[in-house]
Amino acid sequence: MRLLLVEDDNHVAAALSAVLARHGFDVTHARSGEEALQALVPEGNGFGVVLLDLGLPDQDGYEVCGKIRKRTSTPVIMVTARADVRSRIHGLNLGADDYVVKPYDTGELLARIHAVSRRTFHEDSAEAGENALLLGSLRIELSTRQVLVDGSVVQLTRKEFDLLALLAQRPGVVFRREQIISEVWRTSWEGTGRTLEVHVASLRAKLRMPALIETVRGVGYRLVAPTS
Amino acid sequence: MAAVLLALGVPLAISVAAAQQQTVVVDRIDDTARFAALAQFVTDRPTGSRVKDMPADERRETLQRELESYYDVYGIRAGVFYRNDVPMANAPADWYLPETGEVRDAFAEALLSRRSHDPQQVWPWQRNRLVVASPVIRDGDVVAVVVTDSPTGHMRSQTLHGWIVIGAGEIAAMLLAVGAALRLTGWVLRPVRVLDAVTHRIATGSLKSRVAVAGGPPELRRLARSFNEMADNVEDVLEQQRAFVADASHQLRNPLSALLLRIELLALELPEDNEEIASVRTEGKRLAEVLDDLLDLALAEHAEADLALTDIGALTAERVAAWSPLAEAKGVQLVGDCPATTAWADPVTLSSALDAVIDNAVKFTPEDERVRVSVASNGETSTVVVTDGGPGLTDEELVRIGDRFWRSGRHQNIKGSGLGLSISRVLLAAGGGTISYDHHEPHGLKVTVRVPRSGPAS
Repeated sequence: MRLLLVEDDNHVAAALSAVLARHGFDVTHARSGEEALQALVPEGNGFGVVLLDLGLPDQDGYEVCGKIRKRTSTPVIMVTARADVRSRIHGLNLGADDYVVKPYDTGELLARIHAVSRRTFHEDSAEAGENALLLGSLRIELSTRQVLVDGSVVQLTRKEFDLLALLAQRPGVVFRREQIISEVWRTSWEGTGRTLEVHVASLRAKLRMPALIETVRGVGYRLVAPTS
Repeated sequence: MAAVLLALGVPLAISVAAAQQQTVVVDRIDDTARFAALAQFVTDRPTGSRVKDMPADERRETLQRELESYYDVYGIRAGVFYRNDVPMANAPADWYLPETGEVRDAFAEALLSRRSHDPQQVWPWQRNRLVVASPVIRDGDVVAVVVTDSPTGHMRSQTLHGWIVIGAGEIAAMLLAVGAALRLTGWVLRPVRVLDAVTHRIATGSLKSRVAVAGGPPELRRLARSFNEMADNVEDVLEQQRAFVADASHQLRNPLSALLLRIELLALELPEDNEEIASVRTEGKRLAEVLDDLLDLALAEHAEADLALTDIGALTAERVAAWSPLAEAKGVQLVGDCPATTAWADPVTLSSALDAVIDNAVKFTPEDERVRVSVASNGETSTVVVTDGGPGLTDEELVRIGDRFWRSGRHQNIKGSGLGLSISRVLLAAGGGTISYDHHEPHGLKVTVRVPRSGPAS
């Protein structure tokens, strides 16, 4: 997924870009409101989420937020200081979809990125009328909960299917362990870590595509779209 | 002023008395001269000349009658006496020259052919009489003396009258002067009083107060303008200071963010479950919390309290309820005694302050000990007292607590930035409240939050 990061401080931008890249995101850095608006032409330009820092040099962050909203429906997450409730309310009123507090908590940032992009994903797929994901030889039928590899059905357990479907929503994007556990097992209990590993191993075995699901050490897993 | 009036009034009074006496004396002198003239022709002549005896007796009779009517009308004793004290004529008839006294002295003087010296000043409170004597001279010799002895009653009452007029005049002048002085000092002092009142208001927190430049002498008007300038500068400086703290706290956000993000990247390189990484992340978060608290403090110092009549009993009970789950989880007994009590306070800032205090109390109290919160009021103030069963503080520490960032050396390791109580103190002060610390027996800390019972009398 492509992210547009609008941040005037280069150090923060570099560090954040590096972290996000490790999680599988493709980050473009805009240093000012003007640059950001240009990058979003035409019509969002394929960005999945915009991360907007409110302390921009050339324009008032709120103005930029408003302008982005006018040009595109790409979700916007604004970045604020903790005590700044008024700023947050104002930003949300102007069209931001969510907010994150600086200094960033990485886990929270990623969770929010996924949260706002989930909406548009569902909207997009609803619009397109798709209820199947096609990734090379892999076909995932969301409505019938069937998985086909090269045309033949693969039997998966309930959890295995949920896991695969989640990862397949965003090919290339790293899903953090706790997020997978939250969404698939509906719990925040840390003890389920080994369960996750077991399920991934099982998936790999059943699909006979060992390179499909990549382990990102220390973070989680991601689905690598097959190149065939 | 009074001294000046006295200094001027006394000679005036004296001269009034003297003038009155002088009038009388001059009168008497005239009278004695007249009698002397009459007496001059009434002298014992060597007998033998019958023709001249008769007229002499007639003159003497005339003189006597004169003296007697003089005495009747004026009450002035008068007499003409020969050198040997024998009276030629006298009125009243039983008045003779005394052996000693003023009369005798005057007589003696006159015998020396001098008119008697001016009698001594008779003051209104004396009952003396005025004696004037004149010699009767015939052929250059003093043959007899006319002596008058006047009552001074009338003269004295005239003098007294004059004095009363002077006195009244002086008092009127004094009152006038005092009145003028009061007006003058009022004119000068009123701007000073205004300046004093505004200074007090600024010192107690309403930084926007200024002096209206009006009235008073030009020096004070200049002072008022200078004062306003100074107050503007003070307000600016304080505002800059606050803005600097807020700004600095803000500026630190970006470097801190970059640092924490790099730590995340580092964490990805290390083997999983590395403990150091967890500690580093915690420290980073702690730093972020301090930044936030600093910002809060800067904002709190800027805060203007939103005061209202509040039931602090209910407010405290609510806070106690909010902290109960945490206390329970920790095994600490949190007990509240919160009867309905009114006070003049800002409910938001009071809640924050109570949170800081109760948080502190619960944090430092070990398991199975108790934290007690009591609300009471007496007279002018309402109080919330929080006592805990923790280790308490030494006397030296009691003095330092509430300083920014201060934490007792013994308690450095407990979570928190140390800013909470300092922020509370500032927030409470903005509304006229105070927070104080003391020992709690047998061990622990007693924190007393005081707020005024009622608003300023308007």
